[in-house]
Amino acid sequence: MGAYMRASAVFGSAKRIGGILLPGILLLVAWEVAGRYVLDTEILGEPSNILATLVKQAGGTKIWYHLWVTASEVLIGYFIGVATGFAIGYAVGVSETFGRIVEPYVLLINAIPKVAVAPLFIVFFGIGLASKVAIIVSMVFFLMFYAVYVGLRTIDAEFLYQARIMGISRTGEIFKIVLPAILPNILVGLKTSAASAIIGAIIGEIVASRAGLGFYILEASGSFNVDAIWVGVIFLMLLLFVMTSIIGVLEWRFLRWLPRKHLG
Amino acid sequence: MSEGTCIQSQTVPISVRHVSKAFRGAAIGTEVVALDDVSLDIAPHSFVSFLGPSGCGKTTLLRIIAGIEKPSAGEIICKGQRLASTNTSVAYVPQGKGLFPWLTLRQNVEFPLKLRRFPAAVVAEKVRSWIDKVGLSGFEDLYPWQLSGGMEKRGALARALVADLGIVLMDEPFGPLDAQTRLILQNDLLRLWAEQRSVIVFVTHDLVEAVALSDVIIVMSRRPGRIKTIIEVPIPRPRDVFEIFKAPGFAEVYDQVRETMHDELISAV
Repeated sequence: MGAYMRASAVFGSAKRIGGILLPGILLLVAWEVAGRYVLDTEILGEPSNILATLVKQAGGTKIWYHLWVTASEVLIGYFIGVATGFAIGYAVGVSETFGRIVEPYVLLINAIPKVAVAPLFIVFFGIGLASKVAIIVSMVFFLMFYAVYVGLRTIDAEFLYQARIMGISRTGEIFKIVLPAILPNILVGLKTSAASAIIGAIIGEIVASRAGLGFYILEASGSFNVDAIWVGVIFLMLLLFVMTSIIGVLEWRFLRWLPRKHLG
Repeated sequence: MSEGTCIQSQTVPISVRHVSKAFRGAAIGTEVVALDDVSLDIAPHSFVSFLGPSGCGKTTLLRIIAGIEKPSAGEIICKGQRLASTNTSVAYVPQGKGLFPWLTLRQNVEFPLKLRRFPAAVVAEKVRSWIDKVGLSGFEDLYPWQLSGGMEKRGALARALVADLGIVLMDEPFGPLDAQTRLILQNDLLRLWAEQRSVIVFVTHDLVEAVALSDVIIVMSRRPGRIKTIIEVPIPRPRDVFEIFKAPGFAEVYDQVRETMHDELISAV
């Protein structure tokens, strides 16, 4: 019985993972087949060639160096952006006066398209790491700001009242009520910020850089090496996958209390 | 605390003195008077209900006693002390969701004890025994969303009673439950109360519920909220909520309350 249950659990999760992978595999096969007959593989590339290039590149050091450059930009920018977005979002969400003054400015600055001003960042901060970090911060900050701000604005005040009647302290209020209540918002902020941080790094690298996956992709497209462009994209996806996986672990660990409901 | 205030706190656990409450109205410059000069004393060990149609200020009065709403005028004396901010010497069962959704049932019931720094062994024992008393043993590690509405309310009862503060304020606690579950929970509440004999202040708009549970019913009138009548319920205890219609004295009290509320109910529509 126990062995059967274990076996069926293993089989069940294998089936689930298979179910997730299947559409992707089918798409790749269709792409490959279509490449033989109808698609222009000069422009689109084809999975078998991309795989061959990927294996070759992964065996060398060049792509890993570019990944390292982009990853460090992303991580530094991500942490600064998330931390400042959280801090200002919290301050604005908690204090009504501070919120009334600061929130319109945040809204206004957020309306500036970051892609359009990316060249300015390069002028201000140079061609290296600093300008990329600045671009990433300018994108991540707002996502985290609004995640926390909205979380605080929609918190159920009844929870605070109940805890106060139970004699909670001021710091207890923050750590035992407010932060747990807005944790789902915080994790949404962390998740959306991860993708934005990578986009920000690539924007910066494409505008001006000497290294990084954006630089690698730009170089590949300059020499019309379609397979290498795809390899660069795959490494970007790898970076995003690692980041969202870590956040996924945090969700699994800290959001077990959320109702598991799906619409429909 | 001096001997004198202790004795006073024995005699009148809660005293409401000339409490009024006005809210800002929807239109600028207007006011809605929710409570108008309400005074009452609540006797030790008594089960008191505030009964009235919606908009009579009964919930507002309860929240003022809990210190989470400030009166526009008047004062609350609780256990001999004038209430200046949130009332931490009472337990409170709210109208809506009873438990913190991010804590398990066990963590929820532990919460007030841990805040009051009870030793770990005492916490564990009290929590175990109260979860058992409300019939939720075996569900300790579930989160509120995994419990039914009735189970969550039982958890909220356990959390309110576990610290044994002597006063429990309840704001239409059984409102959202189905009729069957309500009866069961009302019966459980009376059983638990018989053991502990805290003061219970219970807000409801359900006439039968008020009669079945209370020693004293405070009937309130609509805008401005005032005390209309105070009716004693002489039905002997222990009471069986399921058979309350057959209890001696039920019919008389029920009629008395119904008649007092009659004009209120008509003018309410």
